[in-house]
Amino acid sequence: MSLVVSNLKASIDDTPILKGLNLEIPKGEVHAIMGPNGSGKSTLSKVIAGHDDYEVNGGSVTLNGEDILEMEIDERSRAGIFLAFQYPAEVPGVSNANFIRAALQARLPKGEELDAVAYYKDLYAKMDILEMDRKFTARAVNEGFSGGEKKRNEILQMMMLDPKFCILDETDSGLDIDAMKVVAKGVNSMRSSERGFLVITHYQRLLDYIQPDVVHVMADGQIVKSGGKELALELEASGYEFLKEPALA
Amino acid sequence: MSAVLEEEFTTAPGDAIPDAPEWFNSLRAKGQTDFQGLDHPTKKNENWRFGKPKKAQITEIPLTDEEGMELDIEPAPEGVIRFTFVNGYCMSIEGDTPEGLVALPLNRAIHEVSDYLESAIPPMQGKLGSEKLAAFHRASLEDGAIISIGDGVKVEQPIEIVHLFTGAGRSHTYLHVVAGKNSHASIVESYKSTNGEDASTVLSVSDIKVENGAHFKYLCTQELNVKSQLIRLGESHTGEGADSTTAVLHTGSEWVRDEFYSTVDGRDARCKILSVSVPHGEQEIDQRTFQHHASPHCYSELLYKNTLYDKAKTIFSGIIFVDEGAHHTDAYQTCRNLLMSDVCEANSMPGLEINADQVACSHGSTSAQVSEEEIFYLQARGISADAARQIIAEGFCADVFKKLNHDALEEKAVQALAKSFA
Repeated sequence: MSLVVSNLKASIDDTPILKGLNLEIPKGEVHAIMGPNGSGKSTLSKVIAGHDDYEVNGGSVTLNGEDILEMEIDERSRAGIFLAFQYPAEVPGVSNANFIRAALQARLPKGEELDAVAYYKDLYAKMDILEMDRKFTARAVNEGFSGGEKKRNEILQMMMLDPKFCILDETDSGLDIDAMKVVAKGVNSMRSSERGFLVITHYQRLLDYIQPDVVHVMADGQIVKSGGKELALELEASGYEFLKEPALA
Repeated sequence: MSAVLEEEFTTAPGDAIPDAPEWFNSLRAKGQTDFQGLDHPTKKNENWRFGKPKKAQITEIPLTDEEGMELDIEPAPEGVIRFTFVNGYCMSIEGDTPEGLVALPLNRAIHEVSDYLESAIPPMQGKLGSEKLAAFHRASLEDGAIISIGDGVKVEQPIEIVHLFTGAGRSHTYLHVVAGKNSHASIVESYKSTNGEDASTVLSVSDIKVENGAHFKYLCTQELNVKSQLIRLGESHTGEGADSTTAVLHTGSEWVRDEFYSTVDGRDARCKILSVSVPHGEQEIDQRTFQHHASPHCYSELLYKNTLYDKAKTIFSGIIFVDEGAHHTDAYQTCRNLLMSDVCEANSMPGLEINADQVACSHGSTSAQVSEEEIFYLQARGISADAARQIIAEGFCADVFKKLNHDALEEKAVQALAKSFA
C-alpha cells in the first residue's frame, strides 16, 4: 500500500500550515519526518487521519490510489490508515479490551460477531511482545496512564488493528530508553513488504531502533530535504540551522 | 417457578391489620394522622424547585389490582438469597439464610421478629420534600423486605430483591436493612415492569442502617417502563468505623423523584452515594440529596452522573450539612451531566452548610457534551461517530460503578446500563 501526498495544503483557523506538501511512501518502506517545532509535522498526521480542526485547501492524499480525503475519519481507519497519537485521549469508563474489541468489531460485516476467545488470545500475545501487564485490559483507555503506558497502548492498538499504513506521531516523546526499545520492537514486528510507515520524530535516537529507509526534513509546511538514514544523524549533529541558508529559505 | 398474585393483603391506609402487633398498627395509624395533617408540596417548597410536585399527588391512584395473574419468574442461582415481589407483595424468598441473617417479608417479620422490628424501624422519612408521601407510605405499610445481618456475619453473595410490576396502578415497596456491627453484606434491588404498557406508580421507601464497623454495599437498578413513575425515598445511617456505599441506576420511568438522606454518625464513618441516570425521550429524573455529617472525622462522597438524550430533563439538588462539632469532616459532592442533545435540560443545585472547623468540603456540578477529541480518537480507530458517542457516554456512566468496589454489583449495574446503549 503506498501513500501519496500531492501538493497538500491545509490550514487551521485560516492560518496556512501545510503549504503544498509532496510525499510518496511506497509499501514496505519506513519514512521518517523530522523538523523543527511548528513545521507542520503533527498537522500532516492529523490531516491524513481527518481531524475536523483542519481545513484542506488543496491537493490530495491517496492510499493505494484511493482518495482518502473524501472519507470520514472512521472510514480512513477502516481503509487501513492508523495514527499513533502523540497525545492519546483518555476515555473514562471504557476498558482497553472493550475499546480495541469495538474497533475490531467495526471492521466486520454487519451481523458478524468477533470471536471473543480468539480475540483475547491475540490481544494477550501482542501485550506480551510489548511487555504489558494483563491488568491493562481492564483499565480505562489511557486514564491515569503514564506517558510510556499511553504510547505502548497506541502500539498495541496498531498491532491489533493490523493497518495497511501506520503513522507514528512523536511516539518517542515521553519514553525512556527501555520503553522506546519495547515500542520499537512492536513496530519492527509489524514491518512487512505490504505495509508502509511514516515516523514523525524530533530526535534521531528513535531511528536507531526503527531504522528508516528515507528521512525527510519538513519546514514551514513543506518537505525541504530528503535523504537516507544518515540524514537523521546529520540533523542530530548540526540541527536545523541549514534551513536558514538562503538556498533553502 | 411461577407466582400467583392474589389480593389478600390490602387494608385501607391507617387501618389496623387483623392479627398484626399493636405497635405496628399504631405506626400505620400515626402515619395516617400525619398524612392527613400534612399538605401536598408545591413549587414554592425549595425542595421542589424545578420539579413537578403535582406528579407526587399519587395517593388517589388506585392500587394495582391483578388478581390471579401468573408470572414466570426465573429461579435464583444456587446460593443466592432472593426476594421476589410483585406489585410490592412478596411472592417468594429463595435460598437458605445462614445463621445470623434474617431475611423475611414484612408481614412475617412483624410476627417472627416483632420486638426487633419494633425497635429497628426508624422515624418517618420525607425530610427532602415528600413528608406527606412518607406518611402515606407508613400508613399503608403491609409488606416489604426485612433484612438484618447479625453482628460479625459475612454474607458472601449479594442478597437480591426483585420487584416486578404488572397492571396499571399504584404499588408500594419497602426495604429495611440493618447491617450489624462488623458485618459484611451487599444487596442488589431491581425494579422492572413486566410489559411496556402498564403504567405503574411506585412509592418506594428504604431504611438502611450500617452499624459500627460494618461494610455494606447496595445497588438499585430501576428499569421500569416509560409509562411508569417512581418515587423513591431513601435513608442511610452509617456508624463509627463503618463503610457504606449505595448506588442507583435510573434508566426507566417517565418521571422519577428520588430523595436520599444519608447520615454519617460516628468517628471514621465512611459513606459513598452514587447515582447514574440515562433518561431518553421526555423522561424526567428529579433527585434530592442530603449528606449529613453528625460526627467528627467522617467522610462522605457523592457522585451523580446524568446522561441526557432527546428532551430529557434532570434535576439534582444536594446539600452537604456539617453539624456543629463535626470537625475534620471530609465531604464531597459532584454532579456531572453529559448532554447528548441540544434540547435536553439538566438542572443542578449543589449546596453546603458548614458549622464546624477543619473541614474539607467540595461541591460542584458540570454539564458538557461528549468531547470532540475523544470522538476523534475513537473514530481514528474505525468506530463511527455515532457509535463513538455511545461508547463514550456508556463509559462516562459505567465509571461511577467502579466506585462500588464490588465486582458482582458492578457487573449487574453495567449489564443493566448496557441496555440503554444497545
